[in-house]
Order: sequence, then C-alpha cells, then structure tokens
Amino acid sequence: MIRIDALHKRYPGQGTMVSAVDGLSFEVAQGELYTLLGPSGCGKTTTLRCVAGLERPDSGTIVLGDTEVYSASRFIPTHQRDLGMVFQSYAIWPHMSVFENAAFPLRVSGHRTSRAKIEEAVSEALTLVGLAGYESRMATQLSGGQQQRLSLARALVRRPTVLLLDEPLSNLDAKLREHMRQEIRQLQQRLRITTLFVTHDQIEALAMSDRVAVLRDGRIEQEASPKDIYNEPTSEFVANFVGATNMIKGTVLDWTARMTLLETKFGELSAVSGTERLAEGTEVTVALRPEDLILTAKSAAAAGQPNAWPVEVMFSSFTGAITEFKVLTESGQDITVRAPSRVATDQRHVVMYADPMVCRILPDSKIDAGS
Amino acid sequence: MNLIRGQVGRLAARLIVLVLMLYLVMVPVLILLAASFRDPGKGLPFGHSSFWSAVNYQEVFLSGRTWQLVWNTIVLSFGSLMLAFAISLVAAWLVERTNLPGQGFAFVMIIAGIGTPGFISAIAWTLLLNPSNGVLNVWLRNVFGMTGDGPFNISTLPGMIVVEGLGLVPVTFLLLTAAFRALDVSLEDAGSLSGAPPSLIARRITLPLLTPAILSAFVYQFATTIESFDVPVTIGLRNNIVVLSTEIYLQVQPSTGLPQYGLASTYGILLIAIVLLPLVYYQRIIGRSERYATVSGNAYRSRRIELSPRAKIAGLTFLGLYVLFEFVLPTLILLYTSLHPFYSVPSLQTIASSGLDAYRTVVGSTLFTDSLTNTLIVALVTGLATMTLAAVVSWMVVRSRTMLRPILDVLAFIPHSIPALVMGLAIALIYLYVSIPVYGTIWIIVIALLTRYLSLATRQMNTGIGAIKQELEEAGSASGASSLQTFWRILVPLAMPSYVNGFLLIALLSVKNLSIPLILGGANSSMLATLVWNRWDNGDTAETGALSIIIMVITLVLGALSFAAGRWTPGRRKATKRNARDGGVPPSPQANEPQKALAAAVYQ
Repeated sequence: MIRIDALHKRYPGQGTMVSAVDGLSFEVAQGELYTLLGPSGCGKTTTLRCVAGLERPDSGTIVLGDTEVYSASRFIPTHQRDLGMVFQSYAIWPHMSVFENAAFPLRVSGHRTSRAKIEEAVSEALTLVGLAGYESRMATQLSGGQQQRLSLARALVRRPTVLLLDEPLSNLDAKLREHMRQEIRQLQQRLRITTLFVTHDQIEALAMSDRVAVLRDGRIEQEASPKDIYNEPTSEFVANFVGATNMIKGTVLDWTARMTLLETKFGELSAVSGTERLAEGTEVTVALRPEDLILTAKSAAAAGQPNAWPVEVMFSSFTGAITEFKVLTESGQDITVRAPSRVATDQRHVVMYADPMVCRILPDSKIDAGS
Repeated sequence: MNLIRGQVGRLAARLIVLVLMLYLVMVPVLILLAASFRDPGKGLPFGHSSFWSAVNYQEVFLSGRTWQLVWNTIVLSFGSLMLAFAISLVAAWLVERTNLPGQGFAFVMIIAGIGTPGFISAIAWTLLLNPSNGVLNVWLRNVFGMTGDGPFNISTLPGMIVVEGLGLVPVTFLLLTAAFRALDVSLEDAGSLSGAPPSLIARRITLPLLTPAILSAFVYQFATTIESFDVPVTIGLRNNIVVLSTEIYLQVQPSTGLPQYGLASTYGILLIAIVLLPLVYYQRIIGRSERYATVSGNAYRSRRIELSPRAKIAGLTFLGLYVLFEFVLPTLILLYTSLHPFYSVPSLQTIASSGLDAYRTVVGSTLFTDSLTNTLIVALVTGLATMTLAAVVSWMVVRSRTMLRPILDVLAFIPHSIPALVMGLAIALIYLYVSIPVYGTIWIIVIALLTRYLSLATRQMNTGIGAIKQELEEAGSASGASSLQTFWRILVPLAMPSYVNGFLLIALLSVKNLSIPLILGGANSSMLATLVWNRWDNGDTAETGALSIIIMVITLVLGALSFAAGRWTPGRRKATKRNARDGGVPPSPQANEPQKALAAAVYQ
C-alpha cells in the first residue's frame, strides 16, 4: 500500500520557486497498479522520486506499507525503504554480469543470505522475466529489451512491498513496447505487487492500470479507472490528453435529469445529462470521441433526426482498419471522425450522426450564465 | 571539364597537405634519430669531423647516471601524480556529488591556477620554501625558535613532487569532474533502490564505473609529468637533482664547450620511448571506454549527498588549504616580491614600504616591449597557423575515405609523444642545416610550437568537424549551394566554435611554454618566458615578480576566455539538438567534451 498526503515539492526556477508537486494526495491499494499520467513537467516523475526517496519533499507525508517513510519529522533514506524500481534508462550496471546485477539487492541487504538462497532467488527472478540462462553474460551484451527485463528482475528479486516504474517502456521500439506492456501487467497481477507507474503515454496508462491519475501542474486533474478516464473525462484537459476528442461549445437550452439540449454553432445537440443541474444559458463543452461519430449518406430521413447534421468531407485518410475523416460543418467547424474502413463512406456530402448517450458534457468546463 | 578541374584541384590540395605534414612531423623525428647515431668528433653532429656511430647509445645506456635520471624522472612523475589524484578525487567528489556550500566559487578557485606557467609556480615556491630565506621557512623558524636553515627544503625530490603535484591538480580535477558528470546518476540511484547504503554504492558502483576514466586521466597525466621541464629546471637544478628533460637541456646548453646534440637526441629518444608507451595505451583505453556506454534516460538533476556540518567544515578547509597553496600563496609572494627592489622576508614594515618601481623599470625597457610584442605575435600566429592546418587535416581525416586518412591520422598523432623540449631540440637541429633563414628569429619558435601542438589542435578539430554530420553539407548541395558556398556558409560557421576554442588554448600554451624559447630563442627573439627566466637567473627578484604577474594576467585572461568558449558553445548547440524533457537541460556526456579537451590541453 502507498499513501501520499498533501505532498509539496518546489524547485528554484527563474527568480521564483516553481511548484513541481502541489499538494498531491492519493492512495494505492494493496496489489493495485496505479498510474500517474501527464505531460512533461506535470510532476509525475518528481512524485515517484519522492516516493523512492531520491528527492526530499518540502512537506506532506508518504507511507509505504505500514511504514511512514516521510513526514515533517522523518525522512527514511532510499536504501532503507522496501522498494524496487525500474528506471527509464534501466540503470543496469555495465561492470557486472547479469547474475551480479540481479543479485546485488540480496548481497547488500543487512542480514546475511546464503549463497544457495541468493542463487535460488536470482534464478527465480530471472525466470520470471524470461532471462533464465543469461546469468553469466555481461550486462552490456544484452539488448535494450533484455536490459529492461533484467532491470525488472533486479527490482523484484528481494520481493519488495512496492514496485516503482519510471517510464520503463519509453526506450523500447513500438512492437516490443506493446509486448512488454502486457508482460509487466501480467507479472504484476500474478505477484499482486503494489505498483506505482509513471508514464506520459496514454495507451500504456489505459492498458496497464487499475486506476489512473491524470496530473497537471503538480495536481491531480482526474483520478478514475482507465475506462472512466476515457469515457467520462471531467475536463477538456483530460479529454484532450487521453485520446483524441472533438470539443464542441454549446449553450444550455433545456435541462432534464436524462437529457440536456444544447445550442451549438451548427445546430441543436442533445447530450446525456450529468449529475449536476444546468441552468438555461450556461455555457459548457461537449466532448465527442471521433469513433463515436457516424457518417451516413444524406437522406431525407436522416436530415430530420436529432443530433444529425449535414457535413462536408474535406479529407479522408485510410490507415488500414480505420479510416479517419476531417469534416466541416455548415458553420465551418472542423471535426474528426473515425470509422471502420469497411463501412466508411465515400461520398462528399454526408450526414454526421451522434448518439446522445456518447455526447458527454465536461463538468469542469461549465461557465454559468451571466458570469 | 569542370569535374576534371575539381578532381585535379582536390588531388593537389591533398598532396600539399601531405607533403607539409610529412615535412613538419617526420623531419624532426628523422633528424633526432640521425643525430643520435652521429659521433660529432670535435664539432656538430653533421659537421666535417662527424661520422656514423652508436657511441651516444653506448654512453647513455651504459652509464649508471642515466638510470639515476630515469629513476628521478619516474619518482617525480609518480609522486606528483599520487598527490594530484588524491587531491583531485576528493575535490571533484566534494564539488560534484555533495551539497558543500559555494561549489561554483570552489570550482573556479580550484582551476584558477590552470593558466599559471609551471616555471612561475616553481619560482614562487622557491621564494616560499628555499631553505635559507624562504618566507615560510623563516616564519616557521621564528615561531618555533629554530636556527640555521630549513626546516623545509624545496630543492629536493619531495619538494619538486609537491610543486609539480599541486600544478597538476586543475587539469586532473577537470578530467575527473567531467567523468563524474558523464556518469549516469540513475546507476547510483539503482543502488539505493537495491538497499545499498551510500558507502557501499561508492565502493561497489561509483568507483568501478569511474575506473576507466580515472585510469585514462592517470595515463594522460603520466605522459605530462614525464616530460615536465619547468619544475625540474627551476627547482631541481639548484640542488643538482636532474631528470631526463633537464639532462637534455644541460647537454644542449652546457656551461662550457659545444652543445652535445647527439647525446641530447639520444636522451630525447629515450624520453619519447617512455612517453609513447602510456600514450598508445591511453588511445586504447579511450577506445575501450565506449564499452561502458549505456542507454541514457530522462536525465534528472543529480542528487547530492548531504554532508553533516562538521563534514562541510572539513571539506571547505581541505579545498581552502589546497587553493591557498596552489594559487593564493604563490601569487601573493610574487606580488610582494614585485613591489620590493631588494628581496627581504615579508613583515609589516616591508609591506608598508612597497613600491611600483619594478613595474616602471620593466614596462619602460625596450627589451620588455620587444618580448611582449614577440610573445603576442607568436601566440597569435601559432594559434592561427596551427588551427588552420589542423582544420584542413581533420577535415581530410574525418571526411576522406582514401589511404590518406590513416596516414594523416598517424602523422597528426606523432607530435603528441614528442616532449616540447625535444621538439625544440629537433627544430634547432633542422634549421642549423636547412637554409631557411629562421634561426634566431621568432619564426623558428612558431614552427616548433606549431609542430608540438599539432596533435592537440587536430584532436580538437576532429571533435568539432566530426560533430558536423555529412548530411548537413549534402543538404547544402541539395539546396543548390556550390561547394564553395557550402564550405563558407555551412561548414565554417559550424566548425568555428571548435576553431576559436582551439586557438585560445594554443595561444595560452604558447605563452606558457618555457622550454622551446629557451632552446630556440636568440637575441632578437626574446619572449616573456625567457625574459622572466633571465631575470630570475640574474637574481633580480623584483623584476622577476613583476614580469611573472604580467604573464599570469595574460594567461588568466586567455584561460578564462577559452574556458568560457568551451562551456558556452556546446550548450547552445545542444539546446537545439535535444529538447529537454523535464525543463532544465540535462548534462550530457558531450557537454563535457570541450571541458575535457581544455583539461587535456592546458597542462601540456
């Protein structure tokens, strides 16, 4: 378990102090994989390094398992924390063999471990990551992917309560990255090890996590399961950062508990209502995922339907399974639409249709009428 | 037709460069070899009475004195290296890896002595610690109520080791800080994450990873100390402690009789042999150190070890003492000496009676103005000529795929193994016989310095030109630029930082060098270095002090400029090359290259 409370960390910037982490609080349950996701400079790496003890926070508390490792009166140094960490650069020691790299955490532990025990634990860890048989190689003879596995084995070899992953996949090529993504996740689930994962890659975050926190300027913008982060973003920032999104501004015409009717530049739009009551005249933003929009041939029947607007296809690009369209509404707004290539339209003037259930009002985008 | 003309032109250019390099590099080596195999009879090695013989080798290798000289040379070398590396390792660790206060200032102060010529430090230390009236000795005697001479004598091997060792620190320190910076901090962090306490990380991770860099710095500095001349000639000769380099000097400029060029050449070849071995090894280490190249990641500001208040005081005291002995005391004693027409041990009264007479006399003399002009012209011309030739050679070495490449590479490496003094000797021999009227002018000094520093300049330009990807030139051609336009508008601007940096270094080295002007200087080619040397020889302490201070100002300015040039350029180039991911620009290994080059260069 990891618990972080009101964590603050400032750095001296140009003239002033810059807040890298600004009052961050979250909790990672036992066996959970929790991801800090955000663009560079959002404070995710700093948070991770504070947890590791590589960085000393300015204030707050950090609890790992049942040990308080940082608080106002306490700072437990890194080597006394019960952690394993995989670095972005892998940090494999080039002057040691594969075996020596993986055995290091056991060798330096305070209590004496017998040679046989070490060999057993190392071989188990190496088998776990698929490096059995590489023991006697020099670490520098390994490929990037293998170094990454070794780094993982080293982090796991002494069975720490918490595993930290600092952008571990960013130095791998695309194919290997996808493979390692699954492998790390499976391993984590099998060992049920509490894991804190830092990444700027939304696909990694969605694919691997139990829960994701999207960070912005040292604060949590939204914290939810991957599905909820994607399907129900609360702000434009999250909607934009996680997946492509069309943002549509509108003014509330009518609100019921089920549906909200909005006036947009290109016509009326019905969206599923959130929990909050919206007064008439409130300005909001609606997020529309490109794959939720449907383009159909222009027909008299379609023209009268709600949430259907005539658009002109300006550009289409075939990318294999998916075809991506840039369409222009009559009011001149650009919208991106994605459709399975098999059902993609080839006409220029079409109707764009959106099910009201996929039109999500972003709660944090609300600007009240009159303000 | 154009194509043919281009081909012919290129061939001609290559031929000219090749011939020039062969002349500059091979002729000195060959003449040394030839002279070492001549029995001069009663004259010069290639005179009427001379003949081929191995008599010089017999005399050198069969005499017990030679082995005494070799022993002295090795003891001086290793002793000063041990001292320099002990100080530099601690200092580099304190500055790069701990939270010691005032690190920026400490860094500058540690390398402040980098521009001070070795013979000037040696003069200062003679003033401080000679057994009869060395300032520190007199003070110590007064404090402890001792009589007679001492307690310390600088003119001993341990004394020479201290002076030489302190002088080696700035460059060693730069080489080691560069190594510390190049070390990926996450390798140490991974140790912490594995549960290893800091002392264990230092022993099991940091030190083994730094070993190749420390070793290569050690070998490099070994070559430097083996050929060192300034300290042995200034301090050692007063007490008849002779090393190989001073022996060569004594043979070339004996107090009586003709110069023994043959014997000197033989000693020179022995010296080259001793220097060559570690240098070849050094090249190999450099090649092998690439083995330790690792994937670099999100470079983060390096974590610093937090020192206890007591450790901080100890660290600052250590650095303070070093700076006091390496820079502050020597400078102060020279300054004091320069202000008093007759030397006496400093006291409150003598300090009160200070005066600028010596500076007035010095600046008023035509010998000084001539020497200053000569020194500046030599520095300027040597810098420009060496760097220009080096730029052409490196361009051919980096770009050409012909047989020319390895040949030029080797030719450019050879001068690196020839000590400055031996180079001076070889050049003297050549122009005794080659009828180009340069003997006794400053131009022979320029030729010797140019040849001596050609290796350094070529290495500097190799890095600079190697960093310019061929595609950049090709993109110029693809944009419709002629080869001349590509050269002027793409290659020249991109290579300029390396050129300027190298120029400043070589100008600095030319001002600092004593051995070459000492051997090659004549009545009309007095340089500042030889002027100081003569004043010191005549016992004129005031003018020695004044001139030393003037030289130190010049070298300090040149050193500061080249350091600024070295640090400023790559930052700018790097900033565009790499978009920093987490705000601050992370230090990359390349960022330390100029720093390393400067370090590698300045103390030669």
